[in-house]
Amino acid sequence: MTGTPLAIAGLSATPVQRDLDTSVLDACSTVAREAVIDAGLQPADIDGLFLTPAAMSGEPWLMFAANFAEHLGLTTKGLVGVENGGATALLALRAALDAVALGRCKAALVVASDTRPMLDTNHFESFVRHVAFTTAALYGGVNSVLGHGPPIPIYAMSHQRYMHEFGVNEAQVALSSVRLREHAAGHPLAQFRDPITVDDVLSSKRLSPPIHLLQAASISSGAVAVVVTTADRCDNGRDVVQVTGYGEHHHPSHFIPRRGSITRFESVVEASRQAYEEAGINAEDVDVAEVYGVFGATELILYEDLGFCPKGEAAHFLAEGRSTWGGDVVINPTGGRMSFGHPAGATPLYEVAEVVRQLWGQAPGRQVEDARVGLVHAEHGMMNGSVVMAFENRS
Amino acid sequence: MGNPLQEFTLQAMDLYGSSASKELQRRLAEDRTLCATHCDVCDETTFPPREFCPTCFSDAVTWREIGSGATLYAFTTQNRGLRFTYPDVIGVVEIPDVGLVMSPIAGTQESLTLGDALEPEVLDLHEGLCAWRFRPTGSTP
Repeated sequence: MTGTPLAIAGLSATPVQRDLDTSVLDACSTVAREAVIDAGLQPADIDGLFLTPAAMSGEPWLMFAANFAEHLGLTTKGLVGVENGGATALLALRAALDAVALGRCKAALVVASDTRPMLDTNHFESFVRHVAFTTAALYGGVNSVLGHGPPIPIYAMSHQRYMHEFGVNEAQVALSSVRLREHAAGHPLAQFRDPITVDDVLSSKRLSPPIHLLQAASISSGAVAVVVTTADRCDNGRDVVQVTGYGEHHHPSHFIPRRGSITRFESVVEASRQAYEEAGINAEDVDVAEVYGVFGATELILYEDLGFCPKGEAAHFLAEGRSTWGGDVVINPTGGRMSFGHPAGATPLYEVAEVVRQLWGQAPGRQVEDARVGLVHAEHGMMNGSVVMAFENRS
Repeated sequence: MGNPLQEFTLQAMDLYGSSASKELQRRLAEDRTLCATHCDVCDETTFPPREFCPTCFSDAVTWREIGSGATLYAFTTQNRGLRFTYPDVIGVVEIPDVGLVMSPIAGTQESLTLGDALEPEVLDLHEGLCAWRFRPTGSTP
Protein backbone atom coordinates (compact mmCIF):
# COMPACT_ATOMS: atom_id res chain seq x y z
CA MET A 1 0.00 0.00 0.00
CA THR A 2 1.19 3.51 -0.68
CA GLY A 3 1.49 6.22 1.97
CA THR A 4 2.10 5.75 5.67
CA PRO A 5 2.57 2.06 6.57
CA LEU A 6 -0.40 0.69 8.51
CA ALA A 7 -0.27 -2.17 10.96
CA ILE A 8 -2.38 -4.41 13.19
CA ALA A 9 -1.31 -3.33 16.68
CA GLY A 10 -3.43 -5.61 18.86
CA LEU A 11 -6.20 -8.19 18.79
CA SER A 12 -8.44 -10.44 20.86
CA ALA A 13 -11.04 -13.11 20.07
CA THR A 14 -13.47 -15.37 21.89
CA PRO A 15 -13.51 -19.09 21.14
CA VAL A 16 -15.87 -19.94 18.28
CA GLN A 17 -18.76 -22.01 19.57
CA ARG A 18 -22.44 -22.73 19.12
CA ASP A 19 -23.53 -19.92 21.43
CA LEU A 20 -21.65 -17.20 23.25
CA ASP A 21 -21.02 -17.69 26.98
CA THR A 22 -22.15 -14.11 27.59
CA SER A 23 -24.37 -11.50 25.98
CA VAL A 24 -23.22 -10.09 22.64
CA LEU A 25 -22.53 -6.76 24.34
CA ASP A 26 -20.32 -8.40 26.97
CA ALA A 27 -18.46 -10.45 24.36
CA CYS A 28 -17.84 -7.40 22.17
CA SER A 29 -16.70 -5.20 25.02
CA THR A 30 -14.38 -7.92 26.37
CA VAL A 31 -12.56 -8.43 23.06
CA ALA A 32 -12.52 -4.66 22.42
CA ARG A 33 -10.86 -3.91 25.75
CA GLU A 34 -8.43 -6.81 25.41
CA ALA A 35 -7.42 -5.72 21.89
CA VAL A 36 -6.64 -2.19 23.07
CA ILE A 37 -4.60 -3.53 25.99
CA ASP A 38 -2.88 -5.99 23.62
CA ALA A 39 -1.90 -3.04 21.43
CA GLY A 40 -0.30 -1.33 24.41
CA LEU A 41 -2.69 1.60 24.04
CA GLN A 42 -5.04 3.44 26.37
CA PRO A 43 -8.75 3.97 25.69
CA ALA A 44 -8.07 7.65 25.02
CA ASP A 45 -5.70 6.64 22.19
CA ILE A 46 -8.59 5.09 20.24
CA ASP A 47 -10.29 7.69 18.07
CA GLY A 48 -12.12 5.45 15.58
CA LEU A 49 -14.62 2.62 16.12
CA PHE A 50 -15.69 0.42 13.20
CA LEU A 51 -18.28 -2.31 13.71
CA THR A 52 -20.21 -5.07 12.07
CA PRO A 53 -23.87 -5.24 13.06
CA ALA A 54 -24.07 -6.79 16.54
CA ALA A 55 -24.60 -10.52 16.03
CA MET A 56 -25.07 -10.01 12.30
CA SER A 57 -27.11 -13.17 11.69
CA GLY A 58 -28.98 -12.84 14.98
CA GLU A 59 -31.55 -10.39 16.21
CA PRO A 60 -31.53 -6.83 14.84
CA TRP A 61 -29.91 -4.18 17.01
CA LEU A 62 -30.59 -0.59 16.05
CA MET A 63 -27.75 1.93 16.15
CA PHE A 64 -25.30 -0.62 17.51
CA ALA A 65 -22.31 1.61 16.74
CA ALA A 66 -23.71 4.37 18.92
CA ASN A 67 -24.84 1.94 21.60
CA PHE A 68 -21.45 0.28 21.73
CA ALA A 69 -19.41 3.50 21.73
CA GLU A 70 -21.46 4.70 24.66
CA HIS A 71 -20.99 1.39 26.46
CA LEU A 72 -17.21 1.46 25.95
CA GLY A 73 -17.05 5.14 26.81
CA LEU A 74 -15.06 6.04 23.71
CA THR A 75 -14.90 9.50 22.17
CA THR A 76 -14.17 9.08 18.45
CA LYS A 77 -13.75 10.94 15.20
CA GLY A 78 -15.02 7.95 13.27
CA LEU A 79 -17.98 5.76 14.30
CA VAL A 80 -19.17 3.44 11.54
CA GLY A 81 -21.32 0.32 11.15
CA VAL A 82 -20.71 -1.80 8.03
CA GLU A 83 -22.72 -4.64 6.49
CA ASN A 84 -22.29 -6.69 3.33
CA GLY A 85 -22.78 -10.39 4.06
CA GLY A 86 -19.72 -12.52 4.61
CA ALA A 87 -17.34 -9.72 3.60
CA THR A 88 -18.68 -7.47 6.36
CA ALA A 89 -15.87 -7.68 8.92
CA LEU A 90 -13.12 -7.23 6.35
CA LEU A 91 -14.95 -4.22 4.92
CA ALA A 92 -15.16 -2.78 8.45
CA LEU A 93 -11.40 -3.28 8.75
CA ARG A 94 -10.92 -1.60 5.37
CA ALA A 95 -12.98 1.38 6.53
CA ALA A 96 -10.74 1.64 9.60
CA LEU A 97 -7.58 1.39 7.50
CA ASP A 98 -8.87 4.12 5.20
CA ALA A 99 -9.60 6.40 8.16
CA VAL A 100 -6.10 5.94 9.58
CA ALA A 101 -4.45 6.24 6.16
CA LEU A 102 -6.27 9.53 5.53
CA GLY A 103 -5.19 10.83 8.92
CA ARG A 104 -8.78 11.17 10.13
CA CYS A 105 -8.05 8.72 12.95
CA LYS A 106 -4.80 7.83 14.71
CA ALA A 107 -5.84 4.43 16.08
CA ALA A 108 -9.03 2.61 15.14
CA LEU A 109 -10.74 -0.29 16.86
CA VAL A 110 -12.63 -2.83 14.72
CA VAL A 111 -15.10 -5.18 16.44
CA ALA A 112 -17.03 -7.98 14.73
CA SER A 113 -19.53 -10.44 16.18
CA ASP A 114 -22.15 -12.96 15.22
CA THR A 115 -24.63 -15.37 16.81
CA ARG A 116 -27.23 -17.81 15.60
CA PRO A 117 -30.71 -16.45 14.83
CA MET A 118 -33.33 -17.06 17.51
CA LEU A 119 -36.12 -18.87 15.64
CA ASP A 120 -39.46 -18.97 17.42
CA THR A 121 -40.36 -22.55 16.55
CA ASN A 122 -42.98 -22.73 19.29
CA HIS A 123 -45.24 -20.27 17.49
CA PHE A 124 -46.00 -21.34 13.95
CA GLU A 125 -47.09 -18.00 12.52
CA SER A 126 -44.14 -16.17 14.03
CA PHE A 127 -41.75 -18.78 12.65
CA VAL A 128 -43.26 -18.68 9.15
CA ARG A 129 -43.19 -14.89 9.12
CA HIS A 130 -39.52 -14.85 10.12
CA VAL A 131 -38.56 -17.35 7.42
CA ALA A 132 -40.67 -15.69 4.69
CA PHE A 133 -39.29 -12.23 5.43
CA THR A 134 -35.64 -13.24 5.83
CA THR A 135 -35.83 -15.30 2.61
CA ALA A 136 -37.21 -12.32 0.69
CA ALA A 137 -34.71 -9.98 2.36
CA LEU A 138 -31.82 -12.22 1.31
CA TYR A 139 -32.84 -13.22 -2.20
CA GLY A 140 -35.11 -10.33 -3.26
CA GLY A 141 -38.65 -10.09 -4.53
CA VAL A 142 -38.19 -12.41 -7.53
CA ASN A 143 -36.12 -15.40 -6.43
CA SER A 144 -37.55 -15.55 -2.90
CA VAL A 145 -40.67 -17.17 -4.35
CA LEU A 146 -38.53 -20.24 -5.05
CA GLY A 147 -38.55 -20.86 -1.32
CA HIS A 148 -35.03 -22.15 -0.80
CA GLY A 149 -33.68 -21.25 2.62
CA PRO A 150 -29.97 -20.94 3.44
CA PRO A 151 -27.82 -20.93 0.29
CA ILE A 152 -26.64 -24.55 0.66
CA PRO A 153 -28.32 -25.69 -2.63
CA ILE A 154 -26.61 -22.84 -4.47
CA TYR A 155 -23.17 -23.93 -3.31
CA ALA A 156 -24.15 -27.56 -3.97
CA MET A 157 -24.69 -26.72 -7.62
CA SER A 158 -21.28 -25.06 -7.79
CA HIS A 159 -19.86 -28.25 -6.24
CA GLN A 160 -21.67 -30.41 -8.82
CA ARG A 161 -20.43 -28.29 -11.74
CA TYR A 162 -16.88 -28.23 -10.35
CA MET A 163 -16.74 -32.04 -10.26
CA HIS A 164 -18.34 -32.21 -13.73
CA GLU A 165 -16.06 -29.67 -15.40
CA PHE A 166 -12.76 -30.75 -13.86
CA GLY A 167 -13.22 -34.51 -13.41
CA VAL A 168 -12.97 -34.37 -9.61
CA ASN A 169 -14.73 -37.03 -7.53
CA GLU A 170 -16.58 -36.77 -4.20
CA ALA A 171 -13.78 -38.35 -2.17
CA GLN A 172 -11.26 -35.83 -3.51
CA VAL A 173 -13.46 -32.95 -2.41
CA ALA A 174 -14.17 -34.62 0.95
CA LEU A 175 -10.44 -34.62 1.71
CA SER A 176 -10.64 -30.85 2.16
CA SER A 177 -12.85 -31.39 5.24
CA VAL A 178 -10.40 -33.93 6.65
CA ARG A 179 -7.40 -31.68 6.14
CA LEU A 180 -9.11 -28.69 7.73
CA ARG A 181 -10.15 -30.79 10.71
CA GLU A 182 -6.50 -31.76 11.16
CA HIS A 183 -5.69 -28.05 11.27
CA ALA A 184 -8.48 -27.25 13.74
CA ALA A 185 -7.27 -29.99 16.11
CA GLY A 186 -4.38 -27.76 17.14
CA HIS A 187 -6.24 -24.47 17.43
CA PRO A 188 -7.42 -23.37 20.87
CA LEU A 189 -10.33 -21.29 19.52
CA ALA A 190 -11.70 -23.84 17.03
CA GLN A 191 -15.21 -25.25 17.42
CA PHE A 192 -14.76 -28.72 15.83
CA ARG A 193 -11.51 -30.56 16.67
CA ASP A 194 -12.25 -34.31 16.68
CA PRO A 195 -10.50 -36.16 13.83
CA ILE A 196 -12.60 -37.23 10.83
CA THR A 197 -11.98 -39.40 7.77
CA VAL A 198 -13.14 -39.19 4.15
CA ASP A 199 -15.59 -42.00 4.95
CA ASP A 200 -16.95 -39.95 7.87
CA VAL A 201 -17.50 -37.01 5.54
CA LEU A 202 -19.22 -39.00 2.82
CA SER A 203 -21.41 -40.92 5.28
CA SER A 204 -22.51 -37.79 7.15
CA LYS A 205 -26.00 -36.49 6.44
CA ARG A 206 -26.48 -35.31 2.88
CA LEU A 207 -27.75 -31.71 3.00
CA SER A 208 -27.93 -30.91 -0.71
CA PRO A 209 -26.19 -33.37 -3.00
CA PRO A 210 -23.27 -33.52 -3.38
CA ILE A 211 -22.79 -31.56 -0.10
CA HIS A 212 -22.71 -33.54 3.14
CA LEU A 213 -22.98 -32.13 6.66
CA LEU A 214 -19.21 -32.36 7.26
CA GLN A 215 -18.64 -30.30 4.10
CA ALA A 216 -20.65 -27.34 5.34
CA ALA A 217 -19.65 -24.45 7.58
CA SER A 218 -21.55 -24.28 10.85
CA ILE A 219 -23.68 -21.39 12.03
CA SER A 220 -21.62 -20.30 15.00
CA SER A 221 -21.13 -17.50 17.49
CA GLY A 222 -18.09 -15.41 18.33
CA ALA A 223 -16.62 -11.95 18.78
CA VAL A 224 -13.25 -10.59 17.71
CA ALA A 225 -11.51 -7.22 17.74
CA VAL A 226 -8.38 -5.72 16.21
CA VAL A 227 -6.65 -2.36 16.57
CA VAL A 228 -5.34 -0.59 13.48
CA THR A 229 -2.80 2.21 13.59
CA THR A 230 0.28 3.48 11.78
CA ALA A 231 3.28 1.17 11.92
CA ASP A 232 5.33 3.76 13.81
CA ARG A 233 2.81 3.73 16.68
CA CYS A 234 3.22 -0.04 17.26
CA ASP A 235 5.47 -0.03 20.29
CA ASN A 236 4.60 -3.10 22.30
CA GLY A 237 7.75 -5.18 21.80
CA ARG A 238 6.35 -7.37 19.03
CA ASP A 239 7.32 -7.46 15.37
CA VAL A 240 5.26 -5.04 13.30
CA VAL A 241 2.80 -6.71 10.91
CA GLN A 242 1.84 -4.29 8.17
CA VAL A 243 -1.11 -4.31 5.82
CA THR A 244 0.72 -4.27 2.49
CA GLY A 245 -1.93 -4.96 -0.11
CA TYR A 246 -5.66 -4.67 -0.65
CA GLY A 247 -8.04 -5.82 -3.35
CA GLU A 248 -11.80 -5.69 -3.72
CA HIS A 249 -14.01 -6.71 -6.62
CA HIS A 250 -17.78 -7.11 -6.87
CA HIS A 251 -19.40 -8.86 -9.82
CA PRO A 252 -22.88 -7.42 -10.54
CA SER A 253 -24.67 -10.53 -9.30
CA HIS A 254 -26.14 -11.99 -6.11
CA PHE A 255 -25.62 -15.76 -5.63
CA ILE A 256 -26.15 -17.32 -9.12
CA PRO A 257 -24.53 -14.95 -11.66
CA ARG A 258 -26.69 -14.63 -14.76
CA ARG A 259 -23.52 -13.93 -16.74
CA GLY A 260 -20.58 -15.67 -15.16
CA SER A 261 -19.21 -18.91 -13.79
CA ILE A 262 -20.03 -20.86 -10.63
CA THR A 263 -16.74 -22.79 -10.76
CA ARG A 264 -14.34 -19.88 -11.30
CA PHE A 265 -15.07 -16.78 -9.28
CA GLU A 266 -14.15 -13.55 -11.01
CA SER A 267 -14.26 -11.60 -7.75
CA VAL A 268 -11.63 -13.85 -6.15
CA VAL A 269 -9.31 -13.73 -9.15
CA GLU A 270 -9.57 -9.96 -9.52
CA ALA A 271 -9.46 -8.99 -5.81
CA SER A 272 -6.40 -11.17 -5.22
CA ARG A 273 -4.70 -9.80 -8.34
CA GLN A 274 -5.16 -6.28 -6.97
CA ALA A 275 -3.87 -7.24 -3.52
CA TYR A 276 -0.81 -9.07 -4.88
CA GLU A 277 0.01 -6.13 -7.14
CA GLU A 278 -0.32 -3.58 -4.36
CA ALA A 279 1.81 -5.69 -2.00
CA GLY A 280 4.38 -6.38 -4.71
CA ILE A 281 4.06 -10.14 -4.24
CA ASN A 282 2.78 -13.22 -6.05
CA ALA A 283 0.71 -16.12 -4.70
CA GLU A 284 3.87 -18.19 -4.30
CA ASP A 285 5.23 -15.63 -1.84
CA VAL A 286 2.39 -16.26 0.63
CA ASP A 287 3.39 -18.34 3.68
CA VAL A 288 0.02 -18.50 5.43
CA ALA A 289 -3.53 -17.76 4.25
CA GLU A 290 -7.01 -17.74 5.69
CA VAL A 291 -9.73 -18.12 3.06
CA TYR A 292 -13.52 -18.06 3.16
CA GLY A 293 -14.26 -21.62 2.03
CA VAL A 294 -17.69 -22.28 3.50
CA PHE A 295 -18.24 -25.58 1.66
CA GLY A 296 -15.97 -28.36 0.41
CA ALA A 297 -15.67 -27.55 -3.27
CA THR A 298 -15.62 -23.81 -2.52
CA GLU A 299 -12.47 -24.37 -0.49
CA LEU A 300 -10.79 -26.00 -3.48
CA ILE A 301 -11.99 -23.40 -5.98
CA LEU A 302 -10.53 -20.67 -3.77
CA TYR A 303 -7.07 -22.32 -3.79
CA GLU A 304 -7.18 -22.07 -7.58
CA ASP A 305 -8.70 -18.62 -7.96
CA LEU A 306 -6.30 -17.13 -5.39
CA GLY A 307 -3.46 -18.50 -7.55
CA PHE A 308 -2.04 -21.12 -5.20
CA CYS A 309 -2.41 -23.81 -7.89
CA PRO A 310 -3.62 -24.04 -11.52
CA LYS A 311 -7.34 -24.24 -12.35
CA GLY A 312 -8.76 -27.71 -11.77
CA GLU A 313 -5.69 -28.84 -9.80
CA ALA A 314 -6.71 -28.03 -6.22
CA ALA A 315 -7.65 -31.61 -5.32
CA HIS A 316 -4.15 -32.80 -6.26
CA PHE A 317 -2.60 -29.76 -4.54
CA LEU A 318 -4.47 -30.69 -1.37
CA ALA A 319 -3.77 -34.44 -1.58
CA GLU A 320 -0.03 -33.79 -2.07
CA GLY A 321 0.10 -31.87 1.22
CA ARG A 322 0.91 -28.57 -0.41
CA SER A 323 -1.72 -26.61 1.58
CA THR A 324 -0.51 -27.64 5.03
CA TRP A 325 2.63 -27.44 7.18
CA GLY A 326 5.64 -28.51 5.11
CA GLY A 327 3.88 -27.62 1.85
CA ASP A 328 3.79 -24.53 -0.38
CA VAL A 329 1.53 -22.46 1.87
CA VAL A 330 -0.47 -23.22 5.01
CA ILE A 331 -4.08 -22.51 4.10
CA ASN A 332 -6.55 -22.12 6.94
CA PRO A 333 -4.39 -23.09 9.94
CA THR A 334 -7.48 -22.34 12.06
CA GLY A 335 -9.34 -25.24 10.44
CA GLY A 336 -11.16 -22.97 8.02
CA ARG A 337 -14.84 -22.25 8.01
CA MET A 338 -15.83 -25.93 8.10
CA SER A 339 -13.90 -26.84 11.28
CA PHE A 340 -12.90 -23.59 12.99
CA GLY A 341 -16.59 -22.68 13.02
CA HIS A 342 -18.28 -19.90 11.14
CA PRO A 343 -19.75 -16.85 12.87
CA ALA A 344 -20.19 -15.26 9.43
CA GLY A 345 -20.28 -11.63 10.51
CA ALA A 346 -17.04 -12.06 12.45
CA THR A 347 -15.24 -14.72 10.39
CA PRO A 348 -13.02 -12.40 8.30
CA LEU A 349 -11.65 -10.70 11.41
CA TYR A 350 -10.89 -14.14 12.92
CA GLU A 351 -8.98 -14.84 9.71
CA VAL A 352 -7.03 -11.60 10.16
CA ALA A 353 -6.32 -12.43 13.80
CA GLU A 354 -4.86 -15.82 12.85
CA VAL A 355 -2.69 -14.50 10.03
CA VAL A 356 -1.37 -11.67 12.20
CA ARG A 357 -0.62 -14.06 15.08
CA GLN A 358 1.27 -16.28 12.64
CA LEU A 359 3.28 -13.32 11.32
CA TRP A 360 4.01 -12.19 14.89
CA GLY A 361 5.36 -15.68 15.51
CA GLN A 362 2.78 -16.14 18.26
CA ALA A 363 0.89 -19.25 17.14
CA PRO A 364 2.23 -21.95 19.48
CA GLY A 365 1.62 -25.52 18.36
CA ARG A 366 0.63 -24.44 14.87
CA GLN A 367 3.27 -21.86 13.99
CA VAL A 368 4.12 -21.63 10.29
CA GLU A 369 7.90 -21.60 10.25
CA ASP A 370 9.47 -18.28 9.23
CA ALA A 371 6.07 -16.88 8.21
CA ARG A 372 6.59 -13.43 6.72
CA VAL A 373 3.72 -12.96 4.23
CA GLY A 374 0.05 -13.65 4.91
CA LEU A 375 -3.19 -13.39 2.97
CA VAL A 376 -6.84 -13.08 4.04
CA HIS A 377 -9.88 -13.55 1.79
CA ALA A 378 -13.56 -12.91 2.49
CA GLU A 379 -16.61 -12.82 0.25
CA HIS A 380 -20.34 -12.22 0.03
CA GLY A 381 -23.14 -14.18 -1.67
CA MET A 382 -21.48 -17.04 -3.50
CA MET A 383 -18.18 -15.26 -4.21
CA ASN A 384 -20.12 -12.52 -6.02
CA GLY A 385 -17.82 -10.08 -4.27
CA SER A 386 -14.45 -10.63 -2.65
CA VAL A 387 -12.07 -8.72 -0.42
CA VAL A 388 -8.42 -9.75 -0.18
CA MET A 389 -5.85 -8.31 2.20
CA ALA A 390 -2.10 -8.97 2.24
CA PHE A 391 0.02 -8.70 5.39
CA GLU A 392 3.74 -8.79 5.92
CA ASN A 393 6.16 -8.87 8.81
CA ARG A 394 8.73 -6.32 7.66
CA SER A 395 10.50 -6.02 11.01
CA MET B 1 -55.02 -15.78 9.33
CA GLY B 2 -55.89 -18.14 6.47
CA ASN B 3 -52.59 -19.37 5.12
CA PRO B 4 -49.65 -17.76 6.94
CA LEU B 5 -47.09 -18.83 4.34
CA GLN B 6 -49.13 -17.29 1.53
CA GLU B 7 -49.85 -14.07 3.36
CA PHE B 8 -46.35 -13.52 4.75
CA THR B 9 -44.74 -14.36 1.42
CA LEU B 10 -46.96 -11.84 -0.37
CA GLN B 11 -46.17 -9.20 2.27
CA ALA B 12 -42.45 -9.91 2.07
CA MET B 13 -42.37 -9.86 -1.72
CA ASP B 14 -44.24 -6.57 -1.65
CA LEU B 15 -41.76 -5.12 0.84
CA TYR B 16 -38.58 -6.39 -0.81
CA GLY B 17 -39.72 -6.41 -4.44
CA SER B 18 -39.77 -3.88 -7.26
CA SER B 19 -42.36 -2.80 -9.79
CA ALA B 20 -40.76 -5.31 -12.18
CA SER B 21 -40.99 -8.21 -9.73
CA LYS B 22 -44.69 -7.43 -9.31
CA GLU B 23 -45.19 -7.32 -13.08
CA LEU B 24 -43.37 -10.66 -13.36
CA GLN B 25 -45.87 -12.13 -10.89
CA ARG B 26 -48.79 -10.67 -12.84
CA ARG B 27 -47.51 -12.18 -16.08
CA LEU B 28 -46.99 -15.57 -14.45
CA ALA B 29 -50.48 -15.55 -12.95
CA GLU B 30 -52.54 -13.99 -15.74
CA ASP B 31 -50.58 -14.61 -18.97
CA ARG B 32 -49.05 -17.91 -17.79
CA THR B 33 -45.66 -16.87 -19.18
CA LEU B 34 -42.15 -16.54 -17.77
CA CYS B 35 -40.74 -13.22 -18.93
CA ALA B 36 -37.58 -11.14 -18.77
CA THR B 37 -37.05 -7.52 -19.74
CA HIS B 38 -35.22 -6.69 -22.97
CA CYS B 39 -33.43 -3.40 -23.58
CA ASP B 40 -34.42 -1.75 -26.83
CA VAL B 41 -31.22 0.32 -26.77
CA CYS B 42 -28.42 -2.18 -26.06
CA ASP B 43 -30.23 -5.44 -26.87
CA GLU B 44 -29.49 -7.01 -23.45
CA THR B 45 -32.05 -9.36 -21.90
CA THR B 46 -32.22 -9.26 -18.10
CA PHE B 47 -33.51 -11.71 -15.50
CA PRO B 48 -34.65 -11.03 -12.85
CA PRO B 49 -36.52 -8.40 -14.85
CA ARG B 50 -35.97 -4.71 -14.17
CA GLU B 51 -37.92 -1.56 -14.91
CA PHE B 52 -34.70 -0.30 -16.56
CA CYS B 53 -31.68 -1.83 -18.28
CA PRO B 54 -28.84 -2.51 -15.81
CA THR B 55 -26.33 -2.43 -18.68
CA CYS B 56 -27.07 1.05 -20.09
CA PHE B 57 -29.65 2.46 -17.58
CA SER B 58 -32.16 3.10 -20.34
CA ASP B 59 -35.80 2.71 -19.33
CA ALA B 60 -36.71 1.68 -22.87
CA VAL B 61 -37.32 -1.96 -21.93
CA THR B 62 -39.92 -4.36 -23.20
CA TRP B 63 -41.12 -7.62 -21.70
CA ARG B 64 -40.17 -10.76 -23.58
CA GLU B 65 -41.08 -14.39 -22.96
CA ILE B 66 -38.04 -16.56 -22.19
CA GLY B 67 -37.25 -20.23 -21.79
CA SER B 68 -36.90 -21.48 -25.34
CA GLY B 69 -33.80 -23.64 -25.82
CA ALA B 70 -33.15 -23.94 -22.09
CA THR B 71 -30.85 -26.67 -20.78
CA LEU B 72 -30.10 -27.99 -17.29
CA TYR B 73 -26.85 -26.44 -16.04
CA ALA B 74 -26.86 -27.71 -12.42
CA PHE B 75 -29.32 -29.24 -9.97
CA THR B 76 -29.69 -30.46 -6.41
CA THR B 77 -32.24 -31.10 -3.67
CA GLN B 78 -32.50 -29.81 -0.16
CA ASN B 79 -33.68 -31.47 3.02
CA ARG B 80 -35.59 -28.53 4.42
CA GLY B 81 -36.96 -25.44 2.75
CA LEU B 82 -39.86 -23.09 2.97
CA ARG B 83 -41.53 -24.45 -0.16
CA PHE B 84 -39.19 -26.96 -1.69
CA THR B 85 -38.29 -29.87 0.51
CA TYR B 86 -36.86 -33.28 -0.33
CA PRO B 87 -37.23 -34.77 -2.92
CA ASP B 88 -38.07 -31.60 -4.88
CA VAL B 89 -35.28 -30.47 -7.20
CA ILE B 90 -33.92 -26.97 -7.52
CA GLY B 91 -31.58 -26.11 -10.34
CA VAL B 92 -29.83 -23.61 -12.53
CA VAL B 93 -31.08 -23.37 -16.09
CA GLU B 94 -29.02 -21.96 -18.97
CA ILE B 95 -31.23 -19.97 -21.33
CA PRO B 96 -29.83 -18.69 -24.66
CA ASP B 97 -29.50 -14.87 -24.73
CA VAL B 98 -30.41 -14.69 -21.03
CA GLY B 99 -27.82 -16.70 -19.10
CA LEU B 100 -28.12 -18.65 -15.86
CA VAL B 101 -31.45 -18.61 -14.02
CA MET B 102 -32.39 -20.45 -10.83
CA SER B 103 -35.51 -22.54 -11.03
CA PRO B 104 -37.31 -25.49 -9.54
CA ILE B 105 -36.98 -28.48 -11.87
CA ALA B 106 -39.64 -31.14 -12.47
CA GLY B 107 -38.08 -34.56 -11.93
CA THR B 108 -35.90 -36.29 -9.41
CA GLN B 109 -32.22 -36.17 -8.56
CA GLU B 110 -31.89 -39.60 -10.19
CA SER B 111 -33.91 -38.90 -13.35
CA LEU B 112 -32.15 -35.69 -14.40
CA THR B 113 -28.85 -35.23 -16.24
CA LEU B 114 -26.75 -32.14 -16.83
CA GLY B 115 -27.52 -30.77 -20.27
CA ASP B 116 -31.13 -32.03 -20.38
CA ALA B 117 -33.36 -29.93 -22.68
CA LEU B 118 -35.98 -28.07 -20.65
CA GLU B 119 -39.13 -26.02 -21.12
CA PRO B 120 -40.76 -23.57 -18.71
CA GLU B 121 -44.08 -23.88 -16.95
CA VAL B 122 -45.99 -21.87 -14.37
CA LEU B 123 -46.60 -23.15 -10.84
CA ASP B 124 -49.54 -21.87 -8.80
CA LEU B 125 -48.31 -21.70 -5.21
CA HIS B 126 -51.25 -19.89 -3.64
CA GLU B 127 -53.93 -17.52 -4.81
CA GLY B 128 -52.07 -14.48 -6.14
CA LEU B 129 -48.67 -16.14 -5.97
CA CYS B 130 -46.92 -18.05 -8.73
CA ALA B 131 -43.47 -19.42 -9.44
CA TRP B 132 -41.81 -20.72 -12.57
CA ARG B 133 -40.46 -24.21 -13.06
CA PHE B 134 -38.64 -26.00 -15.85
CA ARG B 135 -39.34 -29.55 -16.91
CA PRO B 136 -37.59 -31.92 -19.34
CA THR B 137 -38.85 -31.14 -22.83
CA GLY B 138 -41.67 -33.43 -23.83
CA SER B 139 -42.34 -34.73 -20.30
CA THR B 140 -45.88 -34.68 -19.03
CA PRO B 141 -46.89 -31.73 -16.79
